[in-house]
Amino acid sequence: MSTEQLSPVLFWSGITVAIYFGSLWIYRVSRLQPLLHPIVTSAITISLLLLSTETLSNYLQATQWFSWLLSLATVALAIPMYQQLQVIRQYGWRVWLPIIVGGSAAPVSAWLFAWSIDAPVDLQMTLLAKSITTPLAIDVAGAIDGVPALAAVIVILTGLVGAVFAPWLFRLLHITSPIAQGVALGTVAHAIGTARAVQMGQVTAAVATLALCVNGIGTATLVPILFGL
Amino acid sequence: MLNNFWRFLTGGIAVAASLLAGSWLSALLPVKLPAAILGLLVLLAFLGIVGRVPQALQLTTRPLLIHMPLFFVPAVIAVWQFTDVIVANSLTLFMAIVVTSLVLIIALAIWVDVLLKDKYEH
Repeated sequence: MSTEQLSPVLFWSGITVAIYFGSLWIYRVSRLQPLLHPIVTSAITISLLLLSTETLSNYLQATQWFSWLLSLATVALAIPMYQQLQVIRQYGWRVWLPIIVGGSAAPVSAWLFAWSIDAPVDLQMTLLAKSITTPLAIDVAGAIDGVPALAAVIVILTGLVGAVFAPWLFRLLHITSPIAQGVALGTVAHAIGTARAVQMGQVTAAVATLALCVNGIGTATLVPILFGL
Repeated sequence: MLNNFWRFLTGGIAVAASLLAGSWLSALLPVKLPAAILGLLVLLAFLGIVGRVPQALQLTTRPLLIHMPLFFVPAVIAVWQFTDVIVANSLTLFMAIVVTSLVLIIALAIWVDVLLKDKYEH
């Protein structure tokens, strides 16, 4: 990699990290206000810096290596999952069944709504890939005549909605069980929800990771069978 | 200090090796699965064999997990590329993403909570 290629990588990565830590500080000072979650405030602040589309594509190219770090962090989720295997075993089907039912209900409910208002067929198909991890969603959407780019957007927005509003809903409904919180976050809000679950505690993180894995593997296995790919 | 540096490095190599094994498995399997999820399962199997979480792995994975939201920031910013598609389908996307996700989060959390209370009562 030449110096010319390296400098935007260092520049934009440095900006992203600095803004993220600034956002994290604001989030902590605000006593964890859901709408001030660091993902939201960092993304808004950086977006304001990137006012032209040309700069946006440069930024995305310079920060491509963050997806590699995200993969490493996903692998690292094995640690809380291993440490809480006993808890997962203890609750057995009470954890597995809601994960499987919720994992099926998430895309079906989104698709049903789009179908009921007669939305374009490619949008309906894309919504079927709603609650799985981004790389899988892109492949699945492409394979079932959806729009792969839109699938990535839908997955990210679904994750954000879950990560931002779920903790608030849990407080409102007095859902204090880390297992219930982990199942809901990992099943509906996939990886971003799991990242949020990590901040809520080890048991929440372990159960959300389980939901992320079960849904990811289940969808990747079932979609080719259901759609004859 | 130096000891911690080597531990951090060893833990990092173990996580990267698991991811690499995940990529290798992903290419081998007939069903396409994400390398990171397969890597997670490889590391989980390794921990099962070892029977504990080595200190080196704890040291490396702690910052990775605590700051996991940081790694999503570029992906979230990439959404701006599709503002025209989002605006064109705003109602469908709002209902399908926001409403159904929130309803499902509520339903799942309440259901699991009831199931767990039921277990304690019996």
